[in-house]
Amino acid sequence: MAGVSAVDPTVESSIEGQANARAPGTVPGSNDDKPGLDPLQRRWVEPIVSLGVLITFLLAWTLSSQLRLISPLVLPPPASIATEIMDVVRAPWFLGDLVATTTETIVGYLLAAVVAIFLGVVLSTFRRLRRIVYPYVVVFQVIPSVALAPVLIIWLGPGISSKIGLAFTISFFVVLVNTIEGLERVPANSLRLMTSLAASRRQTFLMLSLPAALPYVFAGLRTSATLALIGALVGEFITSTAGLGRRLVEFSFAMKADSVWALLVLIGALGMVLYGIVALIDRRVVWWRA
Amino acid sequence: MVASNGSMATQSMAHAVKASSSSALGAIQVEGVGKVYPSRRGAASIVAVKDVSFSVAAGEFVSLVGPSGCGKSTMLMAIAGLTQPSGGRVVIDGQPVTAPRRSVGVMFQTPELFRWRNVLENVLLPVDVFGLNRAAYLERARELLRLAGLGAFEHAYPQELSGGMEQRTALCRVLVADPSIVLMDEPFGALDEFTRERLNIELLRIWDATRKTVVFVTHNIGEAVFLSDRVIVMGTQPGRVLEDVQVPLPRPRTVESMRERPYHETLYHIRDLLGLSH
Ligand SMILES: Nc1ncnc2c1ncn2[C@@H]1O[C@H](COP(=O)(O)OP(=O)(O)O)[C@@H](O)[C@H]1O
Ligand SMILES: [Mg+2]
Repeated sequence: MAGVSAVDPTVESSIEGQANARAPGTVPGSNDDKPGLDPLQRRWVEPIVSLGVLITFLLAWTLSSQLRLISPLVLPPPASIATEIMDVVRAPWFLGDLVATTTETIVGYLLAAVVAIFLGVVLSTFRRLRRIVYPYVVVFQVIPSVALAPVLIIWLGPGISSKIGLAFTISFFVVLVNTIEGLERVPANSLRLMTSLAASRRQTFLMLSLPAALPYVFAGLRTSATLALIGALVGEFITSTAGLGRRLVEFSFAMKADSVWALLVLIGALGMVLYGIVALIDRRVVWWRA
Repeated sequence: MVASNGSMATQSMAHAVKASSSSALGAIQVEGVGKVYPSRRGAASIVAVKDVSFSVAAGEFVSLVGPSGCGKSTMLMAIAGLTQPSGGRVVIDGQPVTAPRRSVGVMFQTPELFRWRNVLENVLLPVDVFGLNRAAYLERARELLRLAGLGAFEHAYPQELSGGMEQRTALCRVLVADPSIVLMDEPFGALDEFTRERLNIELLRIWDATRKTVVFVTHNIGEAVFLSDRVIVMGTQPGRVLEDVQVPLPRPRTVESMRERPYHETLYHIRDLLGLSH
């Protein structure tokens, strides 16, 4: 099962992370740090060191640009990227492209989430159906979904629908596999407890299986939030009428290194916002993991 | 804290918990039950238990004791209606068991509390499943929690409880909807010796007050003797009843009961039956 190993670490690590956050005075992996620091100090030290690393990196980058160690065409200095970001954000095309890419991503993602969770529940409920269908799910998951981009463009045209289709395809299987895995892993004794209470299938699903599977489902939803954005961008790379991906390719062909890097930073920020929203919903819905 | 005001607690317990229980229900007859698990991948099929018969009167506390693999869990699951015997039958209050029923509660070795429900909501799970009115059972649930020493923890979540507290919660859950029979499969087997002994004493107190029929599975002989009216000693290959042993210890029992002669005589009698040297 291809999905199994992909599922576990996400869930486990996040559970562990929360557990550590709950116990004050335990900073992950800090047991053998400097013994002189009390836990509160440690909590401050690590982010400050992280920030220091970033600043050092940016300084080294600026310096090597100034000394002409790196050509500005290969890697423009941080300052000119920063200026370019401001220009890009103010450009008249920016908002339209941002909305196009965001819409494709969100629509494809939401469709994928709804269909995948529904199908996951159906397949887990009807075991025989799952045994028949699951091998194909695994095969489909192994095919790199971006390879389907040309096909989707033939089917759905160069407009927004083919990008939605790609965002959908690329995020669909992760959610599906995680939903099925999560429902598979409901503890057998918990199920027996519900059976001993003569609970109906519906009751068992609503009171036990669904909440027990939610951490897995959300692990899939978090992963696929970033995947959906990749899908939309790749679709725009190939052929499109609008979007940040198309703009990126244009700048690249025009050798506008500053603009390419500025867009990359902005796309990264978009990805983090989308992921952050899903992570926030995750924490609200699966609150008991905290 | 609970043990100190034992008799008062027991009285209020009887008041709170007995209110709705009809008296003489909960008699079990196990008639020639056998269970064969079919073979897997060509291996020989497993005869888990063969021709097991015994009966438990309403309100009686009976333990099943034997080495692991002798079919204790299988027997309990057959009584619960969670597994169908391959031969013979189980009869509860005159009706053959074919499926789980509300009047029979089951407690497992693991507490199986739901992490998304707090202690009180976990205790109320059977009430929710049975479609009963939560409000009507709230007082009873709280009373049970108080008696189990969990009065202050009704809003805590399972993640915040110790293993012993989790099993106490599971005990309250199995009692909340007032079953006439409680089946327990090594309920304290995963706990440390001290916690186990304390819970056994509390279990006896609660049983004294409610007088439900209890079938208690354990591989701890001392625990079985201390708790039970009768101990059904089982042997392996195939799982079968070796002897149905009466425990001549007066009730109510306390920690002191474990110093008494009948306790030790029964314990060593069972050890002999099981071929344990001493
Ligand atoms: N679901 C099952 N499938 C196959 N064999 C089983 C199953 N459950 C129990 N057995 C076998 O039946 C025998 C009795 O098991 P069990 O009732 O669990 O014993 P105990 O609870 O006394 O340890 C064991 O040999 C066990 O391997
Ligand atoms: Mg067992």
